[in-house]
Amino acid sequence: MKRLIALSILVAGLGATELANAPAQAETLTLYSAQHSQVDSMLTAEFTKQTGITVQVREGEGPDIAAQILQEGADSPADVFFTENSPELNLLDEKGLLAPVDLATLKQVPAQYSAADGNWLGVLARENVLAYNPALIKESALPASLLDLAKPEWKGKIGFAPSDADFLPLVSAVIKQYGKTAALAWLNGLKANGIVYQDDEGAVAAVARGSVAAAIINNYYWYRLDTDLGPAKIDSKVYHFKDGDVGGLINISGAAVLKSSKHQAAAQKFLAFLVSEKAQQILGQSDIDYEYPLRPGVPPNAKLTPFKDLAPPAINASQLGDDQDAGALLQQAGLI
Amino acid sequence: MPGIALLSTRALRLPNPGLLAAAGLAAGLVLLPLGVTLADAAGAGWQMASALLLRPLVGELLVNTLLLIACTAVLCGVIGTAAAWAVERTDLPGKRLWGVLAVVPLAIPPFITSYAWISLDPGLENFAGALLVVTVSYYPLVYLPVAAALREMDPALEETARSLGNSVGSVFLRVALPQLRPALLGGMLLVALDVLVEFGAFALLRFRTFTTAIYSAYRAGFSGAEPALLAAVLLVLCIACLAAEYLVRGKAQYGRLARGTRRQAACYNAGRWKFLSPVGFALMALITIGVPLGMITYWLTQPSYAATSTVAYSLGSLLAAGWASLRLGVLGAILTLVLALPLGILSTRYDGWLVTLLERSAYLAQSIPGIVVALALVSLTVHSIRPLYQSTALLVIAYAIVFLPLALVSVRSALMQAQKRLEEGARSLGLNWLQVLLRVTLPLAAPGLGAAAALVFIAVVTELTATLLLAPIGTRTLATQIWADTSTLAFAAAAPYAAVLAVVSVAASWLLARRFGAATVFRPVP
Amino acid sequence: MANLSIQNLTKSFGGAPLLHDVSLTVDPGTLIAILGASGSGKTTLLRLIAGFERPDSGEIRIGGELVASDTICKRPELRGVGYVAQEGALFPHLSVADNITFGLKRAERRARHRVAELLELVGLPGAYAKRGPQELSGGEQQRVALARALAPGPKLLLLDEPFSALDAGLRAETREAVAAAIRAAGATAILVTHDQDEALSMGQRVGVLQNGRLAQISAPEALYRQPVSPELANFVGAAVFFPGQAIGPKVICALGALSLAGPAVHGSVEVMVRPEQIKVTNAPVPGSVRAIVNHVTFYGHDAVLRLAIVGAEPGDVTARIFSQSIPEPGSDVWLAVEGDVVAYAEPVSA
Repeated sequence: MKRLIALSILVAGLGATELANAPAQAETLTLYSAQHSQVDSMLTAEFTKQTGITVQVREGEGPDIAAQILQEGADSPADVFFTENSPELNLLDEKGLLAPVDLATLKQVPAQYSAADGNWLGVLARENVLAYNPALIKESALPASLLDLAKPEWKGKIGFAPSDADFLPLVSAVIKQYGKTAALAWLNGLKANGIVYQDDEGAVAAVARGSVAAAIINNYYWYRLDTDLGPAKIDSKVYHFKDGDVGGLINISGAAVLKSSKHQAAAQKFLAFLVSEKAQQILGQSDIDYEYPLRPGVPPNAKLTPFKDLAPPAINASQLGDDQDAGALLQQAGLI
Repeated sequence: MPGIALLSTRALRLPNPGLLAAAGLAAGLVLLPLGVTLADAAGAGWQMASALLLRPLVGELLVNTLLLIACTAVLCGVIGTAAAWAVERTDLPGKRLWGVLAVVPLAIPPFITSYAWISLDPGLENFAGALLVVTVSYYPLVYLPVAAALREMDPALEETARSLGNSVGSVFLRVALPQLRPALLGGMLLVALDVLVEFGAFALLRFRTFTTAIYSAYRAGFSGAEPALLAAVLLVLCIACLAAEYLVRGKAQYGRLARGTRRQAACYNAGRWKFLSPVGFALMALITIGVPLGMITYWLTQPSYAATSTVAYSLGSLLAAGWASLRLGVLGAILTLVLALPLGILSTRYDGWLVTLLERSAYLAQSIPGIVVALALVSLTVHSIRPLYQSTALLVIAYAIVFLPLALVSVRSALMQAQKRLEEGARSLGLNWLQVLLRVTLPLAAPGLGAAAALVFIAVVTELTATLLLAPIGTRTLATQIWADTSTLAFAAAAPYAAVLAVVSVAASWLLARRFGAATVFRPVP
Repeated sequence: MANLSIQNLTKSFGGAPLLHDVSLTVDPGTLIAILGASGSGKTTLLRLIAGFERPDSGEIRIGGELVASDTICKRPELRGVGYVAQEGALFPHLSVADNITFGLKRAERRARHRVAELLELVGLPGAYAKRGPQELSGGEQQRVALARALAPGPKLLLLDEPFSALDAGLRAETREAVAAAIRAAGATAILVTHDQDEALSMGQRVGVLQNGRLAQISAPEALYRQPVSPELANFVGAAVFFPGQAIGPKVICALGALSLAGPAVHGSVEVMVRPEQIKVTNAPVPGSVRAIVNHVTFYGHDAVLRLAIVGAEPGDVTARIFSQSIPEPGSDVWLAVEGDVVAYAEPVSA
């Protein structure tokens, strides 16, 4: 009987914490984030400190969350969507799920990095690069263009992660610049040549340990690995595509307020916070994120190549559109 | 007095409607994800379905998955049988220790093993790595039933065969192996089923199987039908496995022809193997137990870098994750037990097609991968049962569905402890059904029911897939934390969570196994 | 066929002796029964002969060849010893024919060598060859097990309590069939059993194992009539003991002056009488003593009386009588002993 009482108390206790966990407070923002979770933690902690508004975060991959918001529709619990790639924001915008961003907030960053219709906000930028292992391949042998990687001489030498959310914008950009047929041919060539990894983390680590000569990644994965292993241990390098080649595409991390949000004011506040000097400095200075702050005047992490030295292709985030074509093409090529 | 039927003579009366409804609810809950998945898949339409299913990736997954299953099952079969034979039939030194060590891997969740190996050698991100991890995780599923069958086997069979001129090797092939066939095949099919259902280990190894592809498709989210279609294919494979296992177990259970005094089994001179096989066992223990625990310990001593760990490590975050796991474990165990009880009572006290149907439905859950259950529940709640969406309740329901068969096996054997004739005896002594329940049935069944709850608790705490998909906003458990950190290669950050999880799982399993025997704790079969 | 000779065989397990200094020989073509209670070491003896276990010391020779000593232990499969286990131990995955040919060479197995002949030998119809072991009764299983053991033509046949798992009715029938088959095959055999009737009825000689020692080995009748110790007398059958005084070939006890079997003794002895030796009559006959019937137990074919001898020390005497004329409890009867009795110098401990 004593055990029964103890059990009842335990159950009651568990039930009580369940109630306590329910989002009952007036000002709690629900953030759906595809950012790395340390970034979320740093930002939400600072935001709560400044405003007193608590933020609960659901994390996942960008396309996953976008699909989730689409499924949830008008009833979505999300107030703000903060993701690493613009196409997901474009997709939600096309479906009319996003509320306009405050003009004052939009003005904080250069206009070409936010939505043309002002429905989402560019926050940070990253560069597509090749990570390569100098022990396996010379820098001089690296290609001038991303499309060269589909050529036969790259057989067995190139790694990539087609199922990583960061790969989709690159495919979208190739479609944009060269058309679907050429893009499919490129993907087929890549498939024939390449070693497939589950994600960019896997690909960059494979290069570092010498399993593959080079890999298509977003630049920050290399810096994160570099931080993790220490400079002494990393024996791979970053190669930037030059002269506006599609391979040097800039991916935009952006945020938007959901039209269905019941906390519009707080949500707009969060967006304004994301591009505020303080937040952008946190991001730029940390040894965690390695993205370029988009707010003018905030320097990125000193390890990164200066933003102005990059030579990205002339495709802006709105032109990139959503991921739907890229996804279909990847399926067609048998990569996902 | 509706309760009379509950404890009255088998098959003579219909079960009372309340009991039947409760059992029906439990069985229905299991069938729910099946139905939702098939409906979602069917929603794709013929053209889309064939386009999605006939693409090269599905073929590749099928080859990957089936090849892995075949290799793992054969490897586990060979290793498990050899280990069981050595422990049960030879005089090798330290038999008891090896016997225990051969079972321990089952208490280490495969994604922890995967974490350990991938952090030891990232080059294992391939078929060989996947084969290694699942083989070391699952070979006890063959070892346990084969060792039990060897213990059960009439020793006179082997002795007679030897006196008829057969060497030990020949006795094994001509006499022991044919008797072991049901146990061996059954074990291998369980391995196959577990490999089919496994998600975490493969996701961390970045090896593509159906489960990881379903997860990718769910993540990519281009179409709600795609993960459902892949899930339907996976379900077909799983149900085929379960059905085969059922057939193997049902058929040709030779057993002993006659029962009598049981003598000690033969103990063959290990000869030149006497010193070789302990080396083999030690090596096996090193690979299956040493590496996971060793790697966790190694990473515990390494600094964790903020750049890759998903949250800055602190005792607070560890406690929060531990508390979340504990809470979900207890809630999951309670709900699962509550659902399993009516089914258990029904199946131990009544006969008939309806009872069989309900029971079989519940066991069907064995073949429904966690990822399919989770996906179906998301799909269902996001569209129609909104209040449950992203709630703890939904996650707990998912646990109950996934672990209902596990609980049911233990609940059934617990209720068998309270034999019907004892209940009848109590009734004849003037007790009513409630008094019988409280004074006879429950006291007798209590330890078994406790074991059932504890088993589900361990299973929930070490569960990854459903937790990953269904955990409410802000809920991080030990398992999801390990997953998140390991998938960003933050091995040191994952180590404290992995250590707590491994210690909880191994310790709890060990305590249970000591009390109830290894066979009830590790993957009991109905 | 060859014979078996065992010398000074000793085997212990974990410090506890199972067999101690056992010596025995079995002549070709004979069946010897080893009788013992459970734990007496009889199964250990068989397992040592079969080669399933290794002796601590002593020697075992089969057909003159040394197969086990403290240095040698020939593997069981090379000894040519047929073994019939307690419950037959038929291989459940094989048919009757496949069971019988199990110990033969591959070619002979294919040819179903001697299956019909062996089935006939053990008294089973030839049609049984195709059956599975599950379709046979316990007795039939035992006969097939015997056929299987005989098939390779073993030098020696070991039968380990082969009838203990059978019902009373089947047991007698199976015993006879097995005994006949062994005789017909001319096999040398050792049967171990805990059943006195079985040992006495089947063995041409019977050995009794007590606590790991071979207490006596002799022809069945001699064992029953002249057991070497009171314990043995009790073990081999029912026995009644009286204190008495021996004078040469006679002994005086509560049942009167009885003639002694065996060599003459003198002095205080313990007299052993088998209950069926005591004749019960309604009227006095020469040499009879008066007794009162205390209790009657009726068994059908016979009955057992418990009696008190008038004028003797208090205590029951048991007599087994033909069931046709049973005296009433309480009635007076007269007792006389038929045949010779045995006297032991040591008193029986309670």
